[in-house]
Amino acid sequence: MNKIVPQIKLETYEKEVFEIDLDIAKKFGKLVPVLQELLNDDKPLTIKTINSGTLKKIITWCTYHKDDPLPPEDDDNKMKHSTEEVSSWDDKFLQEDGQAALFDLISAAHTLDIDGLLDVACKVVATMIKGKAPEEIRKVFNIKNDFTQQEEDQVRKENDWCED
Amino acid sequence: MADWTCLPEVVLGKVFSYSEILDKFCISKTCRSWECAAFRPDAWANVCISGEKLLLQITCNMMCLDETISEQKLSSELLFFVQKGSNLIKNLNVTFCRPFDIELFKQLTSDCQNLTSLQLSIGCNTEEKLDMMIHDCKLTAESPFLDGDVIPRLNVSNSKYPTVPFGTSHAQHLKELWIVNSFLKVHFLRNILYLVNLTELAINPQQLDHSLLVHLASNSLRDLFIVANEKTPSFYNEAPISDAQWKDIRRNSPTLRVHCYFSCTHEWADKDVIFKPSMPLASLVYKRNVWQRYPFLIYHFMSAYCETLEEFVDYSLSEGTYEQDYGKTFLPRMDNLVITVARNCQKLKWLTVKEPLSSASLILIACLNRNIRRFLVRDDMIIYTNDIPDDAFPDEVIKQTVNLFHETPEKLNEKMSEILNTIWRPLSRSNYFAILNNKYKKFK
Repeated sequence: MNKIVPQIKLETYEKEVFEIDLDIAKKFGKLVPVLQELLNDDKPLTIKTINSGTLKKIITWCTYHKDDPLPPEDDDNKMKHSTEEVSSWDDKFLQEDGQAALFDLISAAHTLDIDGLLDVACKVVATMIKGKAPEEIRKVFNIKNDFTQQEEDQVRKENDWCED
Repeated sequence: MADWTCLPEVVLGKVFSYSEILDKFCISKTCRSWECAAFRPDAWANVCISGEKLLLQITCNMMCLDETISEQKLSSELLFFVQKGSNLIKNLNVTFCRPFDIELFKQLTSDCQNLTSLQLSIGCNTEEKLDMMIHDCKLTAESPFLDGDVIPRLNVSNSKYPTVPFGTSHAQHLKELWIVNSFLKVHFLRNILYLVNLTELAINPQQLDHSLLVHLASNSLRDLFIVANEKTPSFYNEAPISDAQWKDIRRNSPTLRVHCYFSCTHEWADKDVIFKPSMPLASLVYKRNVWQRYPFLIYHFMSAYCETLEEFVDYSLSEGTYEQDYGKTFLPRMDNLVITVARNCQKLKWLTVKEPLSSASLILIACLNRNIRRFLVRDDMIIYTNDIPDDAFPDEVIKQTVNLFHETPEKLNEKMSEILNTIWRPLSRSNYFAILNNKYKKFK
């Protein structure tokens, strides 16, 4: 017997339409309230801020993590925050396409409200920052130093009190 | 090129919440938008300070050690930074790799006005460091010390230390106290009496004390954890708290819940040394193959605690002395026992069974007890059949539900999720053990 998996349709920035299994779509927190509507509707939902490559990656990630245990809903969450490490699969998956892709993925995970993905992606970025000096961080993330010399001096001055 | 400075501040805050203090410091120096995000409260909610480097730097600044004078500039900025963020810190986790510096600690905790929990992990040679901690600060009523103290895996059973290290000035803020395997004599615990706002206390069985408990429970204690693991020394003290005393405690403090987490094989652990019928037992977590090996225990607990039991967990992670000894085919069926437990303990929320169960039994259990939120079973142990044990006697409605069911995994998951009103599915073997391990690791 052929199983019919309910699917919803999403259209990306490039106007490419993706059909996504309901099970996967349930992970998109933003879509949950409108899922039923989308199921009945044949017209795809357009999300202009997400490109096809990113959506593809999100679907891959969600499919891979489909069978993860649900996070415990009780007070254990606060313990989890710092202890849980990023799995090697996640780490490789998030970094393989370079930094721009990771950036897109984080923005998209935030837009679609995919908690699990946002969590691991943020951890990966935090790891990239770890142990670097401000100048190195600017270099890695291509950030322009927008503090004025005056401000930097000011910070120094403020700190003088604890130095004598 | 992606512009990382234009990520929403809330996302940046989330990223930075995974950074250590030293990294947050560097982040705040990169640009304006990252500086703003680095000082969002959510980036500071959980703070880990670890590693020798940072500690050394702050310490150097405060103690002006000669040999690191060249780093003084950096450390003063760093300290200033920590102070700027310190009132945002809610949970502070400090790992000491070097001898404990009490001045630094005082400074840190007195700046952190909004601290709700503080976790101390002390590196090697804990005895020595605890010695320093306590003797250096000369515990007085004013000691600004160990506010919300959690000392994991600290064994000071032969201790010469006078008492749990905190002062009365901070005592009223303390909500949770874990002193598992520390301060094992009851009279070391006398200053716990100052903890008028304590809601959660974790102690060893031998620290159970009637007057202490009456006092705490009449204030605000809601959850008492009685924890014993392999590191807990055995004891032969009969009846720390008698049944009549428990009855008394329960009458005066009806909301108190007792959680027993025993991952040891001491002989008192399954005798009625601890377990008195009137104890308000809410959780029972046993690191044994209880279902298979101690069915009599289960019947006993069920009859005594059916009104209070919320969590019944077989936390035996080695999946199978039995499997290895007898081979999987001989694993005994536990359907009857599990069904009886589910039927009798209506408050049950957590239940784990790693033995074989039939799919029909699962549905019956879900029908009998709708409070179950977490019902952990292994997918390789489910037998897809329609039979219910003969003496389970389901009523007609339930019998129909079970009979309507067709024997496929999808149907079972769907039906169970529908009855329990949550997403339910059996766990793979590794997931099953991973979840248990994660949930109970702090008791190890």
